[in-house]
Amino acid sequence: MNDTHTPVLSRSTCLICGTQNLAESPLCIECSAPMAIVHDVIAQEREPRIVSIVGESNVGKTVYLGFLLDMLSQRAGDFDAIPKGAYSVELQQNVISHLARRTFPPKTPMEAVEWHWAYYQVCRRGPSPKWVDLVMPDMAGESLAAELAGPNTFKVIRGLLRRSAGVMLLVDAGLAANGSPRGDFFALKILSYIDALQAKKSDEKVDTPAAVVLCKADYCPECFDDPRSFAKANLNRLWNFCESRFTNVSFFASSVVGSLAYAISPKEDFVTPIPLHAAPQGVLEPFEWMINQL
Amino acid sequence: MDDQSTVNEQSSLTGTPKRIQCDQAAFTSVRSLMSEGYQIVGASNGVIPQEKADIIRNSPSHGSLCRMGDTLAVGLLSYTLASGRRCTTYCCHAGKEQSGRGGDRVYSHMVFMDRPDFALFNSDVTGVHKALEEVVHQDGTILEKMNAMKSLQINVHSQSIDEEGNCTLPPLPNAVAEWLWPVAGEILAGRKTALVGWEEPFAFLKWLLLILPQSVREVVDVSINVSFSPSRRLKLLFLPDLPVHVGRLLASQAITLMRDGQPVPPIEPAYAPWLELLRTLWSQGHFKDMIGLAAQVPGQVSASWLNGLAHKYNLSETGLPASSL
Repeated sequence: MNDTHTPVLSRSTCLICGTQNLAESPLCIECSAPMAIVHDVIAQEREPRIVSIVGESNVGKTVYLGFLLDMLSQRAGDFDAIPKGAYSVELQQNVISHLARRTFPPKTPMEAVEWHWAYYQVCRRGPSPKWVDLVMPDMAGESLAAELAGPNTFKVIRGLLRRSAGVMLLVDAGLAANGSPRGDFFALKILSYIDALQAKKSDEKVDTPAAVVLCKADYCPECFDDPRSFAKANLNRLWNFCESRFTNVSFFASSVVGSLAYAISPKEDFVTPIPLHAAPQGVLEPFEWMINQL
Repeated sequence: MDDQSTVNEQSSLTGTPKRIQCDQAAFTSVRSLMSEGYQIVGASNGVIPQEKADIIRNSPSHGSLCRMGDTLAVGLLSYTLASGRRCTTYCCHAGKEQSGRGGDRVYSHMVFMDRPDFALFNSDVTGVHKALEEVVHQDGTILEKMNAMKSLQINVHSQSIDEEGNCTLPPLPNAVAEWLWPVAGEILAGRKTALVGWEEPFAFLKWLLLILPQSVREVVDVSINVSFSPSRRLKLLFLPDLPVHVGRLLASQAITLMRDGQPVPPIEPAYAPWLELLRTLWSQGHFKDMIGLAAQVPGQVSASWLNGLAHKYNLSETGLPASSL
């Protein structure tokens, strides 16, 4: 989905929507993307690659992205990751701090001004090191749903998905294993939206790499054994669409929380999940695959 | 929308408050069969898709009603929709966020009004807000996805002068009232303004709207106790406090910042004669004259027209009768 035409950035041009802003503006006046990213990109003199983390509300985008960034900054795998600016660290700090207190981080608000954005320089160590500059925003699932239902409701999302070099699509494996079709439908909607954005002819497939991450896989451990088969069996609509319209899709199982407790209050009608400890599994693999595709 | 603008005439004859019927919608965080999180949980038939997109974009979501943790926190949001109708929202907390991830669930209940309906409220969003508050208190919050929602009948709150000619609104304390004139000047000049730390923002806004000409009053997009987001494109914001990053944002968006406790800024010079006249009437306790004068300003008028009216008023010892305007 990378635009073939790369806009020439000035310090006041938004990276996402191309709007001209006042020089001192901290956010884009049109889409609320942080202008600090633009300033850092210009300093870097290298075009960044946007990887969008998408999925429905409460699927675990914030926790997944927070853990991924934290693992990268701790040199997990073969990676070195350098955050460009303090704003890039806020998301991982937020996630790690909350989990350390045995709570999940609060919901991401729909207002784009409240989203966390991470801009990282990632290097894959090895005989021929590969550097990639990545911009990864943590979007609200409800905003994504609203944009899917009515394109241009959130222009920032349209801009992001249009400019994305890769997409990591998070789907709740626990829900899917229990027979709920909701995640399957949401995933289908997102990929269909991306397909429409590309506006390819019917015989041309979308070549943007898409990593389908089956989150909360600790609820259905069989998912780790063979994520592809799991998706084919439990997310069949998504599976079929990927086969029909996408050339470059891979499936992964992932889990962050080791064990959960549940608390109830007599005053409220919902259950509060309490993460007792973190035991990340399969967090880095989708990212590693994505870097190889970029 | 067929039954819209239907004023209940019978009730006005019997002395009970007038009621009008208008479209409504509710927006909050729920778990439904189709989706989870903040969404429109119900809307009456007259709300069109374009309006739904507007309210999804503008309504406060998690943490965006200021005073998180305060179960009695109340917010107001009012703006003109792309369709031309005015959306006025009553916001409150409705228990804890349903996902169990902490924080309060923000609930927004809104009504949609055409210009004539809004005029019945004297184009005063605080009156519409008060009517909505009555509805939410009486009927409760809607915390389940609804298939259909009826249009809403609400009481019209518009009177600030009673039948004997007395002002029915409690006046603002003088120290607070001194801010009316510079704030009105900013709005008349078309500048966006944020007021920080106001103790009684609803009372202040009501008086502020009363001293603005009708044509200005009916297009003031305003929020009270709703966190700042540039995408809402409001003209007037009341914020309980000002975190540093929000202060930077406001400055970058060319929004005039006025903080309670700071010296009262001077009145916008272009409108000074007009606003000084209103201030004089206020200080003399002539609230009825002040409100009547502002209410009689016809349509779109320039600063020189308003200042000319103030000059004529000052020349006449007893002031101008409304019919001479």
